[in-house]
Formats: sequence, structure tokens, C-alpha cells
Amino acid sequence: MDSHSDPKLLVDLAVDGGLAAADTDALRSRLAGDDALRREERELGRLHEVLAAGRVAARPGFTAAVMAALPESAPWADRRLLGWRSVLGTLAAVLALALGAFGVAGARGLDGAGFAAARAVLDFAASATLSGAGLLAASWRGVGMAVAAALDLPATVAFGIGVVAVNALLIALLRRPRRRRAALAAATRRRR
Amino acid sequence: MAAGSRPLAALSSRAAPPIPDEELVARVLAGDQGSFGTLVERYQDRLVSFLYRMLRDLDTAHDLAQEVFLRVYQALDRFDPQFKFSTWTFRVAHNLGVDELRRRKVRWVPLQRQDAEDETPWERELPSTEPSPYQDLRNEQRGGAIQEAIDALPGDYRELIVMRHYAELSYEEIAQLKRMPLGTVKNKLFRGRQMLKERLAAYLGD
Repeated sequence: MDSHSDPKLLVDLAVDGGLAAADTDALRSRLAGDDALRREERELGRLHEVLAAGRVAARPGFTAAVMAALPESAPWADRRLLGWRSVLGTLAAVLALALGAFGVAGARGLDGAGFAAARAVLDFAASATLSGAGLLAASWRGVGMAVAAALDLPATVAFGIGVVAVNALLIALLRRPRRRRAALAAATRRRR
Repeated sequence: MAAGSRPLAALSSRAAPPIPDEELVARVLAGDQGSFGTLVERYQDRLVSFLYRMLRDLDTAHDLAQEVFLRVYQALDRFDPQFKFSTWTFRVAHNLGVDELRRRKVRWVPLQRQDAEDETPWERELPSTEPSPYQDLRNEQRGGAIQEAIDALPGDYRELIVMRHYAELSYEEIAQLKRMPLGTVKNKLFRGRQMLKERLAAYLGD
């Protein structure tokens, strides 16, 4: 029998289809000798009927209205286009175009305000890149120092593990949408 | 778990849907927009009924149900298959319903009851001029009594009763939707039905 001790709760669950088959059989034999429980069952059954009578149905043509209101192109396709690969590709294309234009202008010996401005922007981009690379290298050096310190001091190993765990968590969160799609495909395959 | 009224002697599980929701979602994501129509047909009555019980306005219930389907479609690629499609859909519906009630609350402040400070938005519904769902019942008096009995339930109980009997969600789905332990859902539904039974004793006899 279900862990619930109140027989009324068991009857309630049984009438609502929430009781396991074995428990239902046990309850049925109990009902046979209990008028009050049988009345409870009848009243609950009637209550279910009365509540069900209050349901409303969607109007005819509702499905067609919904389908007509859907966007023609799938919104997720647009999102995929705006994914990081597209962003990187666009940046690379813009950079290539800029470099090409710069190269052509330099080869033809063009000069002037526009060319100087473009050159300044490129110099700025190059400086930013170098700075970024320097910061990255410094941070890696920092990581190396932290690892060395952690190896020297066993007490900080736990802290290091924590840092790695946080990083792993961040990576997992970033990879979540892809995993979700894979899980969806797997769930579909299993059901097939 | 099957929905609706089922005498103990005739318990039988509801037939499984021919195509699981998750597979239909996968088909839609693969480009088969028609599969979304199957999902709409599968859930439209339950959604309209659920929203109608929340809002008491059939037109708004239909409008919001359509909005629910559109939002679900827009975010279909973000559907997490570890949750049920039904739970996700009804969560969207519930949120939209609550938003609508809040919107009405602002608009209809002068007309609201002033005597109950602890009312949830669900309890702040005004009688609608829309056709009653109980018009199909021969006994309109009984229909009104049922509605009043549901309305008189404490917010939590009423919400669960509506989810179970109008959205036709299973106990597990309700537990997931409300982020509530399964045992709590069972107990609250039991108590809610006991309250309804007491209030409607005159209509439940033989």
C-alpha cells in the first residue's frame, strides 16, 4: 500500500488515477467493507465529472490561426546565422578587405587624409592586438605562477581545484545549447 | 497520469500519444513546420481551458493561447528535453496569464474588492461578461456554485486544482511546473478537492 496513511487520500489518488495498480487493488478490497469510503469514492468521482464539465474547447480554426501567425522563416535559423562563427567570419572578411585596401593604396603610393586616417586606425588595431596579446601572456604567466605556488603549498591545491571547477562550469554553461540539441536528438532516437 | 474523472473500478491509463512531443519538436527544428500544428492541436483545448479559468474571458484566453504557441515556437530551439514540453508550454501560459491579471489589476483598481489583503492575482478576478463555460450544463445554479467554490479556495489550492482539472497536467508535471515536491502536490490537491467537496455537497449526492 502507498505510504500515505489517510484512506481518504488514497481514495482521492485512486479516483484521480494517481495510485499504483497494486495499491489500487488493495484499496478496492478495503472499499468493499467500508461504506464511508465507498461514499467518498462516489462523491469524488462526481466532483471530477462536475469539474470536467467546466472545461472549454478552443474555437474551430484555432490551429489554422496559430499556424498562419507563425513567422515564415524559422527564428532559430536566424539565430544560428548570428552565431559566433558568423561573427568571426564577418570580422575576418572585414579585416581582409581593410588589409587589401590598405595594401592596394600603399602599392599605388596614395596619400592624403583618408589614407592617413585608415593607417591610424590600423595602427591602433595593431597596438590593441599587441596589448591584448601582452595581457594574455601576462595572465598565462600569472596562471603558471599560481600553479607553481599551489604545488609548493598543498593547502592551496584545493583553491586551485576550485578555480578549475569554476572554469569547467563556465565552459559547460557555454556549451549548454549544443548539448541540449544533442540531448533532444538522442531522446528522439531513443523513442524511435 | 490520466486526466479527468475516473471511477476507481474503471481505472485505465490514457493511451500514449502517437508521436512524442519531443520528436515533434525535433521535426519542427528540422524544418517540418506542420509538426508544430500537431503540437497545437494536442494542447490547444487544455491551454484555452486553463487560461479561461485564470482570466474568465474566452476571447482573452484564445488570444493568450495563441501568444503562448507563438512564443513557444520562437524559442523552440531553446527547449530543454530534460523537461516536458507540456510543462514548458504551461509555464509560458501561466506567466502570460499572471501578466494579464497584473495588467487588469492596474486598469481595474477602483473596482476591486478591498476586504482581502492576502489575495493573490488569481483571486482578483472580476465577473466577466463573456459566455459562461457552464452554459452547457442544464443546471446553471450548480455551475455557478462550482465556480464560486473554486474561487473561494486559497490561492495555492485553486491554482493546483485548475492545473490538474483544466490544464489536465499530471501530478509530476504540476510538481515540475510549481517546483514543488510531488507529495505536496498530492496533499494540496487532496485538500483542495476536500474543500470543494464540502462546499458542493449539495450537488454531489446520488
